[in-house]
Amino acid sequence: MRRRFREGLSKAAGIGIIVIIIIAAIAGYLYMQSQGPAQTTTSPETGTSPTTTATATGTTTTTTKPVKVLVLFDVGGRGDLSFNDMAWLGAERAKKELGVEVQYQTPPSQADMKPLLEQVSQSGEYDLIVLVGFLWTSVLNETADEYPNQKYALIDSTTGVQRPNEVDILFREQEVAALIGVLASGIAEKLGGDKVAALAGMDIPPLWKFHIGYLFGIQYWNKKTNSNVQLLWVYTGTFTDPNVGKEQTLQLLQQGAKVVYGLAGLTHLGAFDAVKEWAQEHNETVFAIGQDASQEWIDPYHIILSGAKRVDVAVYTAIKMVVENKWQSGIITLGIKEGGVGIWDLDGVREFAQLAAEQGKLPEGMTPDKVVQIVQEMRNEYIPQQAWDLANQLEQMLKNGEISFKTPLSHDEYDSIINALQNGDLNAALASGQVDP
Amino acid sequence: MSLVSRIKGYLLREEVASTALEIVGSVLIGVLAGVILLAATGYDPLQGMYYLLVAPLTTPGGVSYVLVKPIFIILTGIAFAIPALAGVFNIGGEGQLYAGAITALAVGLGTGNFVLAFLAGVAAGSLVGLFIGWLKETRGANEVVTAIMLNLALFNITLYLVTNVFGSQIYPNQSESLPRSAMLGYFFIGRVKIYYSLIFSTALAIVAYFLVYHTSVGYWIRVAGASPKTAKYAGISPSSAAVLSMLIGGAFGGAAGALAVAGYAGYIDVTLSSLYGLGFAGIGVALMGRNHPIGIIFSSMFFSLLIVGGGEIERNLYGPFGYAPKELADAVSGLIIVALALPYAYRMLIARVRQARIAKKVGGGKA
Repeated sequence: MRRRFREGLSKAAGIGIIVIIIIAAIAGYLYMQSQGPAQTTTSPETGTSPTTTATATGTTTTTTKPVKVLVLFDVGGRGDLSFNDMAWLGAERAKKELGVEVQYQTPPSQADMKPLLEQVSQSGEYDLIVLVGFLWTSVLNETADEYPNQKYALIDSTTGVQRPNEVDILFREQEVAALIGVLASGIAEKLGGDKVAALAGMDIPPLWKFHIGYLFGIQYWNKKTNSNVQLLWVYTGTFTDPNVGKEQTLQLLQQGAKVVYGLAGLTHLGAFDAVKEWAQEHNETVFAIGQDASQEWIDPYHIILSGAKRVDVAVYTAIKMVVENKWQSGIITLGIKEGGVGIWDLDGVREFAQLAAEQGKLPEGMTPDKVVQIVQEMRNEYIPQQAWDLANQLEQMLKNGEISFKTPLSHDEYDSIINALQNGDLNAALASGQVDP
Repeated sequence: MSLVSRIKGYLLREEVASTALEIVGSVLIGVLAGVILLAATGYDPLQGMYYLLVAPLTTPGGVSYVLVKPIFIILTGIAFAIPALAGVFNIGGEGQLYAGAITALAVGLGTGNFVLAFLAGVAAGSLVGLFIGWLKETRGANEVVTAIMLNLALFNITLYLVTNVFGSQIYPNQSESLPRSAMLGYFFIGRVKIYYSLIFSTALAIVAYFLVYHTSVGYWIRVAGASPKTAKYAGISPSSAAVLSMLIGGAFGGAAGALAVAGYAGYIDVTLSSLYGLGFAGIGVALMGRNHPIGIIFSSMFFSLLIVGGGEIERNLYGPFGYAPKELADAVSGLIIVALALPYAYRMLIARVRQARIAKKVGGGKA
């Protein structure tokens, strides 16, 4: 009895294995079929269905093959309403306007980044691999030399190494920070204060650039309007801790800051909370300013502005270089002139409010229209016309190339520029051109 | 007896045959559920399954990628399995992993020596495991509750140390990197890249197998887990077996953390994303591998294949609404993992309930 049971079981196991093999074989056969010439009929409206195994025969017909781009997101991927979503917007625009084929992938963790990049580089399947955010920096630096025929675009970071197959796209953060500095000073005076603040992440080069620009904008305002707005600048030491951001922001408000510029990624989400809490508890009007994506939708009553870092423009620019065969390796910087940085206008505010609404993240009772309306009211009421005029003036000078900012290469240089700015020497921050004394 | 007939005899053993049948059936059910999900969401299910289960193995880069994650989850799997054999539910693999990782980082940075860094990580992990086991047996604190709380505490302690004490001056997203002398490297077979630490953790799994099935310590642990009453009758203290199993499990959890740092990345990132979840993955891997160290080696490989294959789906699977979202890929691999782990998890639960009932009937023990 038991013996028969045993044999029955092993027989069943054997049959099971055979069934699996047969199913796998059929699946493989059907899959190969679907990879053949019939594939264009499966998605006629785009004609861009994935062609993963057809590359061997496709080598001679590369001219007709559309450019294929892979966008590798940061850990976390889409839905951050910031870097990753903007990268997606840029790539989707390239897909529509340039007719490229775009694929996306999100690494499950930082430990996956290296093997993933090696895998996709080795496949030779992509004309360009776009890497979103500074987490990819060291990974790319270790990988790029092994695959000299693979082109890479690193967004918002640099490996510091010049390679013919790598472009690093950076932003001229000083330019957006300068505009914000002017507007923030105007808001602070309107509110009867004389202090503006910034909550910065870590003491690293990108933040030095923000610091220089922001202080420049404030001093520009002071010089043009004969005022004396002071800057409170704080490094929190972290980009990932909203609690620290909240505590530090409350201290800044305690010291009399009327506007707090968030420059610390996730940490400055805590600044938004703090500003709201302070405004309600002290019955006082204070504002926060966002950065990178338009963040007004998070709390339109208290976030009056956002500085733009157009990751979408950077991704689009990189893809365009490949499509138009104008590959340029090394470092490319995007500023106001290229539309890479700036102040988010109401259209931008609406776009991100809509994205937030699609992801169900908009605060209760808000609609994209309402967000735009509130932000417009706040801006009309609290940003003086003079501040807009001065900001526009500065923007024009930057756009025309009349002035450009220095980028400090060492902490000493950064310190000395900040010192000179504190003493009212605006030209110390400029690499070319002058602002009249 | 000839080798062939021995193997034949082994395969014909009832438990082996039924386990094989169960695994085959589970995979089939999981794949079927995945196929239904893919079809329901409008994607080509056969293509989807190809990307999930086959595509990663068709390129050397894909195989290299599949061989990374098992380094850690083989060990966190065993960190769960050994206590489970003693009847203890070690959900604290996560915390033991963090403790091992941060200790290995600290010692590696301080001494520049791999062996010291690894041993320190193992020691830290086993201390955490011992602490949980000790609280359970002497104070009656439920190990699941203690472990969850410790996981959280250790996560935040590690986070604090990584950002504030060992933070890198160059890269804001990570700790200082270990020097080469404190790390294990990698080698190539053809174009497939294999980390020495994978060989190391596989060897540790084999050590675990001998420990559990061919030593008296392993025998105590298994008897204590299978039937505490019998163990007591035979002169084995079930509670010291449980504490011992937590000590050993913790050591494996710590080893996973130590290898994640000194055997692979060389640093810890400031969001702990490269560590987070490896301990929990170990639970799934252990259940899929039927708490058997050798089974866990294979289930870890399979688990890793599903993760890499999930990435292939996200990158390549095209449907009516564009490329498949990451969440769909996760859902499909999740279904297969659940289908594989569930039968064993169910039996484990039933066995526990039955034991508790017997204990009640007999009226002895402290339940």
